[in-house]
Amino acid sequence: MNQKTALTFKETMVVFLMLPLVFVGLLAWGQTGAPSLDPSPKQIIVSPELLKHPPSFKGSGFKAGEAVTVELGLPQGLKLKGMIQEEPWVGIAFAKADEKGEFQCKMAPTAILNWFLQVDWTPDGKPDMTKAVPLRPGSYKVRAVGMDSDVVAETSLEILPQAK
Amino acid sequence: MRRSLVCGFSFLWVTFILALKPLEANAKEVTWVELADLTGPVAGLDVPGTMGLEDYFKDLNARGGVEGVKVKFVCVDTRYDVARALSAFKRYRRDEDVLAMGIVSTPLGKMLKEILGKEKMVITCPGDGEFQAHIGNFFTWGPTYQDAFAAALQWISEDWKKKGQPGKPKVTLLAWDTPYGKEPLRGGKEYAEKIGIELLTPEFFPMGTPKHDVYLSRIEASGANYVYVAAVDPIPTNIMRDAFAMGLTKKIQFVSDYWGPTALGVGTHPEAVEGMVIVSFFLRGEEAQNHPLTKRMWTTYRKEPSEKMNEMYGNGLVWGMNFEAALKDAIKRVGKERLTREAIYESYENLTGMSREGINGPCAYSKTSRRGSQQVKFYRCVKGKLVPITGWVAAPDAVSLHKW
Repeated sequence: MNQKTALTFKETMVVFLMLPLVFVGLLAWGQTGAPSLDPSPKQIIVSPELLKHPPSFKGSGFKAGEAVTVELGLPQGLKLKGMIQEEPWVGIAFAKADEKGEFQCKMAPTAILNWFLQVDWTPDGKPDMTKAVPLRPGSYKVRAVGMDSDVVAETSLEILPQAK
Repeated sequence: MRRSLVCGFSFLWVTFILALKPLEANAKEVTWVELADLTGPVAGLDVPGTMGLEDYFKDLNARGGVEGVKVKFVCVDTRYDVARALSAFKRYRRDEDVLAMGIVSTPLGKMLKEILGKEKMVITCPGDGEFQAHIGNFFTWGPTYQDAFAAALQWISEDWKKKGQPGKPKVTLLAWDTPYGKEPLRGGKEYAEKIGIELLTPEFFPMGTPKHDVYLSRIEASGANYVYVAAVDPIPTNIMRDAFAMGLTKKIQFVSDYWGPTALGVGTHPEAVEGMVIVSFFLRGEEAQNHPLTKRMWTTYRKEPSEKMNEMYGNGLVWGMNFEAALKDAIKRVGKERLTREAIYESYENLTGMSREGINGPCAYSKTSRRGSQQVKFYRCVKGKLVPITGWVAAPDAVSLHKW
């Protein structure tokens, strides 16, 4: 019985040679950790006030130095202005991960105007607020995606109805 | 035994045929992704450019494609938003059928350059000189911004002499406060010094500025003889409107970069833009509208008279011509089944000297050049029309004068 379960010399060598790989893998996993995304605030009211206080995002668990895009999940049936057809996600912010694989970014005015307020643009490049179609209230998915690593961190963002 | 062998061979054949099928499908259709700004501040020029490209591919496909390989055109309206464009880029980056992309935003180009690193992929873009200084994936549509600025400075120098003026002309840059607006100076400044032109302090203004009086007043006070405007149409027209109202168009010669007024804008505000000079790497005005190819394509696919065509449409056709020629070259070199981004990239470098039927100057892409062309023409706004005042002239190489 004992003889049958004992590893041969070859098998022992294979396990021995594999150990550094396992170690490196664990080390790499430990360095980046599980991916995370944290929006701030977690609940927002879509209004031009967002231009003064743009939503921001923090994340971790990405490849050091890679570009990360933050995307808003669009529920079925919702096609934003400028989209030829429905798309499941729209990019709303971007950043570059630091050496620890962490990032911080905030939404640019163009992103707030285009994707949250859904304004029209005048021919000379000014947003036309009179044509705005603010994103309807609800719980939306948001995710951060690593451009090279394909790492994805997902959470939600609550859009509250405007106070009447 | 025999039965097993027959079954085994049949299985192998079916697997072989199924494995070949995707290759065959890939070879018959390749994709171009255009990350366009169809709404927002540069839409006025990007919409007609994108229309031209789309129509060129429709026409190419109607002709049977390139040896049976057809081109699928995918367009994403990024609304001048880098986050949206990056996310769309990510979506198509790993799609092997996507052999080339087009972008319009200068900041996006700078980001993608960093992201792509050594990965080879043709990305066509406007005239950021950085892409000529550091040869890689980005192929500019025409001469770089600084090269066009240098060509304008050369024209200014000659104009100054023709007018019999003594000393050096004083020139200032009036531009959007963006990387694009500042680009002409990276090499253009050095060129001005080289040919003895005095460059005054530039004036940069934010996008969406409704009136330009403040900047124009400062320019007037500085004693400028010439103003070089770098902003996308209709902004140069608005600047001329303000300058005209201030009486400056009589004292100062305004010159626009190649994103300045097109025939439609000039016709709408003839009094304001009267006398403005435009440096252009593509045909403008009636020259563009009466060009046989642009006229045929526009009237066929847009079903409107050519007078309603914005001249950027012709540029879109040129982007399509370049891709068709690269596709032909790549198929000849590697075959339909082995079309890759890398093969297309190498083919773009082989397009040197290719004619674009006179809509642009000859193609200048090569292993050492990312410039779509190196020739420009000068036009002047006269009584609501764009009148050519020069033939094609070579734009100086201003990129190489800058320390990158």
